[in-house]
Parts: sequence; structure tokens; C-alpha cells
Amino acid sequence: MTNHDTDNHDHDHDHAHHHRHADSERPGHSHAPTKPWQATRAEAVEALLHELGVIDSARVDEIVQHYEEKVGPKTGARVVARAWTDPAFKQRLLADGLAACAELGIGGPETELLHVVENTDNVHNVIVCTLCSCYPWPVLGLPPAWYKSSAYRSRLVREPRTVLAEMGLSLAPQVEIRVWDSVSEIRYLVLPQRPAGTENMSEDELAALVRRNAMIGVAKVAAPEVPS
Amino acid sequence: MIAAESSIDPEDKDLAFAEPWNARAFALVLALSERGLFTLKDFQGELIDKIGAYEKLGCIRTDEEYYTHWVEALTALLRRRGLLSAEAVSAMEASLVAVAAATREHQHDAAYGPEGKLRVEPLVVFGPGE
Repeated sequence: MTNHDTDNHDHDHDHAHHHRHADSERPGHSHAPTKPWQATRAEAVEALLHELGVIDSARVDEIVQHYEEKVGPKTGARVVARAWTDPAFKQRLLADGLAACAELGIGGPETELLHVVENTDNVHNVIVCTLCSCYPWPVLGLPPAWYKSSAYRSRLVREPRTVLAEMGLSLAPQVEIRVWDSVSEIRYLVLPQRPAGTENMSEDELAALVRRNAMIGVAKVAAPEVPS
Repeated sequence: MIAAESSIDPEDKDLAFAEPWNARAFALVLALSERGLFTLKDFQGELIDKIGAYEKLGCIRTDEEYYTHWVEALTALLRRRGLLSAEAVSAMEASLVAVAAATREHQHDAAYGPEGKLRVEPLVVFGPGE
């Protein structure tokens, strides 16, 4: 196995895959590539913890499956669509995000406070985690790669209008932008504006319009295409 | 300029995990916090330290880089709590690599017949009524 120096930061920033290692240490046997060292590390840690009796691999499997299959942006979209169609629910959601989500059977042990912030004509909210990658897991699943990138995390707080424009969201100059920094105890969810032309849509139809990026606050919910 | 980097491409796919080890590392942390070995806040503190140290010189752009810090934070936290020593982790890694190599070797040998040609034949055959 190739040696790896995990504390070596003296790398080329343009080389995105600096941790990848040669597939095989044995030329001629390269048909079965060896694993990246991080995979071996994770496996070793799990095996040792299993020996110690402090981890149950079946529970690890369940958690993986939960995040791969059961929770994702569609969960948050249900919350948004309900808030758009049920004013009383919306009030409860803005007052206590976790309690309102629990009404829909949505929850998880990962968050102490889920604060839902509402976009209006005059105020646009966007979420970030400047220090690591805190994210409203129970309602949005896991964050996309760009949310965890140094560029997004460092630049959004300095020049949000520019970053949002680069991501395809140009806001009028008079719109106030509020950047919310997620921390371990408090996660945020953006309640986007309901697009015009959706007055006759059902809750399920509305939910289908709501994408992850609108709930992070880097996009708006697009109006449905009008059939010609 | 970082402006044009694809790292801020909002059209990223919705896949939860790019690689199986990302998923394993993520779920290990949640499972350990469920068992009360540490809290998620403890882990996040460790992760923030790792990411902060890295970002003094480097940039995180990919899931692979991000979860690498996740794995390092987990290892460091377990070491600090006295649950796993660096030596035990290294020994287990060496053992896993050796087992994987031996398995590959075995599969390689089993795939070829005595003349060095790929063997394409059933492993066993049961005749009618057997």
C-alpha cells in the first residue's frame, strides 16, 4: 500500500484527486483495483469497534440505507408544499421547525433546533456552514459537494450577491440578503416563495416543483411550464 | 479565479454518497453518537479542527476531500478518547490489505487453467437426477 501523509497540505490546489493512489501495487494483477486508503481506514475502524463491542455493523448498514434511500430533498419539499397550502401549519413551522416537521412524521436525532426562514419579495435567505458542513439532514438529506466546498463556505458570507448570481440567481439590488450560518445545534431551512401561476395546484404537485437548491436558498422555485 | 469553479455548480447530482466509503464513514459517526461514545457536537468540533487546519493552505472542492477530513476526524477523536490506538488501526489496515491481496491472488489463480488460459467452465455439474 502506498504511504500517505495525512498531514501533508503542501499539495497543488488544482489537483482535485491528490488522495487517489495507484490502483495496484502489483503490475500484472491490476484487474482488481485496491481500495483508496480512506476506505481501508473506515473498514479498519469499524472492524476494531466491532471487536470492542461498541458498534453494530447492521445499524451502520441501516443508517447508510436511510440516507441513500429514505431521506432527501423530497422530504423538505413536502414540508414546503404543506406550508404553502396550510397557513396554520406555516405559522407552526416558522415558530418551531422540528415540531411542525414531526407532525408530518419527519424527524431525526441530529438537530436540536430547526429554524425555518421565509423568503419574501424584500428578503432573501440563504444557508451555509462556514466552519464545516452542518446541514438540515432530517429534511434535506445530505448536502451536495458544493455546499461543503471551501469556495462556497468562505465566499457566501463575504459576497453573497455575487455568489448567488454565479449560481444562477440574480437578485434585485434592493432585496436584502440574510446569510444564516448553520452550527451543530441550529440548522436552517429556507421556505422559498410560492411561484405565480400555481394557485390551482395540489400539495403533491407543488411539492414536485420544490428543489433542494431553493431550500438552501441558492435558487428560487421555478414556475411550472405553461402548456402551450 | 474560483468564480468559475464547478465546485459551485448548483446542478450537482442528488446522490447521497459518491463512494461507498463516504457512506461508511458518515454512518459510523452517527452510529457511535447513538451509542453515546461521543456527541455529534464533539465530532463536529474535531471535524472543524481538521478542516480549519487544512484550509490554511488548501481548498476543499470534492466529496472525496471532504470525507477524507471526516475519516481523519473520526480516527483522531477515537484515539483521543482512548478507544483506538494508532498502532491498532495501522495493524488492522495492514491485515485488511493483506486479506484483500490474498483474495485477489486466489481469484486470479482460480480464473486460469494450467496452460495459463482463462478457465471458462462450470465449477461443478450435477447430472440428471443427482
